Amino acid sequence: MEQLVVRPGLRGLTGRFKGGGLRAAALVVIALLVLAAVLAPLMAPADPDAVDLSAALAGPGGDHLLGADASGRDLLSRVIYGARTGLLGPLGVVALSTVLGVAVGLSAAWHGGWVDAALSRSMELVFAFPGLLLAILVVAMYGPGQLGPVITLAVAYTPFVGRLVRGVARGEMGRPYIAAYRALGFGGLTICLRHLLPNIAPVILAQSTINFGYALLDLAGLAFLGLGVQPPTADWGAMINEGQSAVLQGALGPILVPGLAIVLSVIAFNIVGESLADHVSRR
Amino acid sequence: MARFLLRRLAGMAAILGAASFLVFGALQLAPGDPATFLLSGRSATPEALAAIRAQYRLDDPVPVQYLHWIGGVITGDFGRSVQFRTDVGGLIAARVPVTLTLIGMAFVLTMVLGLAFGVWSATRPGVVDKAVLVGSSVAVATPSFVLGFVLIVVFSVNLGWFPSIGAGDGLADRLHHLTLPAVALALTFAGVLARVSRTAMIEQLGQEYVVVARGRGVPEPTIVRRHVLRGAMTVTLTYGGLLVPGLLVSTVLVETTFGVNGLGQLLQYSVTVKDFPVVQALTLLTVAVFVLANLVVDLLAPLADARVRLGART
Amino acid sequence: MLEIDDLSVRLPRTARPAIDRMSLTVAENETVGLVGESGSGKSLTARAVLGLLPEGTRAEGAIRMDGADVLSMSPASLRRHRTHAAAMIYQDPRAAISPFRRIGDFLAEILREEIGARAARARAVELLGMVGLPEPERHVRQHPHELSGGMLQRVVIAAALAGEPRLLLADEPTTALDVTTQAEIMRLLRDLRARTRTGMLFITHDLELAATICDRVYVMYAGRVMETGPTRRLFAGPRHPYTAGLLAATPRVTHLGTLPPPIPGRPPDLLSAPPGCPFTPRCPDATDSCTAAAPLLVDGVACVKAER
Repeated sequence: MEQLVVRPGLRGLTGRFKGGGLRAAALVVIALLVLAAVLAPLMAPADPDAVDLSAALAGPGGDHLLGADASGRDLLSRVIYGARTGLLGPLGVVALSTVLGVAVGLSAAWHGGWVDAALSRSMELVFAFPGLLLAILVVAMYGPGQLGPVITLAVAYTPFVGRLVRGVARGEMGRPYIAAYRALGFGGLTICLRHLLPNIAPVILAQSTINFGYALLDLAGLAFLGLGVQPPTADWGAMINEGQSAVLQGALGPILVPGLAIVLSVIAFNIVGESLADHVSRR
Repeated sequence: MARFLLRRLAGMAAILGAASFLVFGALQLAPGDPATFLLSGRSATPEALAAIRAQYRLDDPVPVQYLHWIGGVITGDFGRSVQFRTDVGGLIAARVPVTLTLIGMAFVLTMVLGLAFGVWSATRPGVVDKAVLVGSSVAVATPSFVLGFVLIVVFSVNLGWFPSIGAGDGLADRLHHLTLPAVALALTFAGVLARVSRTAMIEQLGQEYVVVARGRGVPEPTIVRRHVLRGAMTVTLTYGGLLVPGLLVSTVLVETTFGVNGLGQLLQYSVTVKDFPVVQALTLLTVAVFVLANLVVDLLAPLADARVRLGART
Repeated sequence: MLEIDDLSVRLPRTARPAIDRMSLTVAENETVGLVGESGSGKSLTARAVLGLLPEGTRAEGAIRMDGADVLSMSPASLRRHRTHAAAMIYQDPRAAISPFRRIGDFLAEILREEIGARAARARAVELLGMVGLPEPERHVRQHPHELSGGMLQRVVIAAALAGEPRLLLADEPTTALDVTTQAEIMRLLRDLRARTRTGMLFITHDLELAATICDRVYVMYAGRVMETGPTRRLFAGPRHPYTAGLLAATPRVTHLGTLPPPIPGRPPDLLSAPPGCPFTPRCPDATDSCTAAAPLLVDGVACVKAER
């Protein structure tokens, strides 16, 4: 049955290396997450913010498939809506840090000399600030929210991309085709963007996919601390923040449901990132 | 040796100096007038504002303010907490023992679990290897606070084996209180380390000297213990040492989860109540720990592997 | 003492056996050369004698050491075989010695269990003296990276002698060394043989080198023995075209300024299985009958032409 559905191109993609099945599963999880985020109003069985105190801390089953939180809000609906901030935040971090990292890494590799030295030292400095700490510092300055931490984490993640890009680009620049384009009179920016970047893009993509998982964890941590997305927004981290008061009564559901959503998402992005990296290193 | 130390110390000073600029500059970059910002949320009476202005020399030019501030930091004076109305240095010093114990326990757990599972996985290809890989993937992806709450419900609420909150008094009680937090803190890092040591072990197992040792009739367990493990250990120790700053930052999540009154909870609380001097001090402290961990790893590397000379790591 | 009888070894995922129906003997106090280009199966032969074949390898035939078949040994007797019956000297001493342990630990490792740590240590010092290292007491405390390549090769030889084996397998023991060190190591191997009466299988790609130390020589090509005989006879009158080609291709100082003629072409890789004699595509005397069937080793040579 599956053999009929899978097109030849796709089968080659998933079956060529070991763990192909795992990667396919991870891609399915990511697809479902994206679907949940986009179609939340259609997929959620209930209003994520509808309070129903009679259903407070209800277990799974019945009206609430995955149970309800201390205010009787439907956990399944909240976790589906939570995919929105859950994916959007990391996406912002990864997009911004990728652009910044590529810019920094390429400039360092292309110019060399003091530009390289200055950029490399700056990246070392940023490495000394763990992302979560830097985000907390920024929240202390500007107050809680999603935007500040996303931009800060993007800066904190930039060296991971930047150092990689610099290394790969320096290796790539030693190859004859770059010298050939230079000899033909192409400008540095053109060569970098049109010829160098496409050749090193797969490596960057692998690193950024892995960064996605880390960004998701950091942002969820901030929301749990009450420093990121604020309750009562249906966000996974914020849900855990709200759920902690019921823990001592032994009610784990309000934490476990968003918690598992986090774990599953991070694993999925890690698997895809690692298999991309695998694929790149095998070339 | 001396030249290496000097170079490293200069590098450390440079990073710490740059970090102090950033941390100090954060006050200038924060929205609004620094004095009002420092007092935000509290009664900004003219007297209080004047006191803050005097304390931070806010009427002086910014470079003078910095020199005044950094001079204090170097002598251990991080200013006064706006919330607690006491010395920031004292607030931090009172909480160091708890957090240090927590990090110490978590570090030992991380190293032991990481190395054990890494070695186990590398020497048993097949089912064991697969299981460890899957397990470490889950460990890396599990937030410490989610695991923390699961541990609380299972081991405190249901089984009653461990307390769910607080740091305890006296050594035995403290270790008892901090066991669950340490496990929650360590798991992610142990997952990372298991992968690192697995890769290092597999790399060593593929070396020619392993085949040679087999060919000399050295028993397989001896080869693994005396040679392969020794080689992999270097990588694991280096990586493990570099995880310490990460452990420190993650205490903010774990201490909040378990209500442990340490540096992490102080950081979370200070941000919530906008106690900026405390946040500044804790940020700088973490950067200092990062720099120090790097230095210690560099200094210890030659002990683990005689081929490594000081300063060889790039 | 060592008797390889009709040995075939097939590595996983290859088209032809890496060792193809090989027979070879080494007697006590005899030095036997195994000569061929890289990839001809020489090193694999030595590893097979130690029972060190890679996983997934299929081996047929027999390797008998004093009558006991190595291929069917129990793990315990295989370990005894590796410590006390046969020991190998490796090509690259720097890769062969674990870099994390001291030289003394490396030498004593296989002895500690049997004679105790203290005696094993003393023996390590004694062994280093035997192979001509100047300061044995100091060297046992040093790490491998503190010694030169030539000194390390002496350590590897000392390690091979540790269990007083009856057979030494020397796998290109001088290839990674410079010329003067090479001469010292060769001298050491000859002296040791005179003193200890061990048999030796000397593996090399260098015919001249083999001639300086070996009593008999086997010439190997693509996993098969092409020709064998006493060194003097083999060099004076090679009967197989491959042996003749190898001898002609060796540079000599007496012919200053002239490059020796190379053998055209390359040896076949393990992924192709050419029919008949594997040397046919490179052979100057090949005829149609050469591709029909691989000639067997008859009277010391495996060539259709020589049989006539």
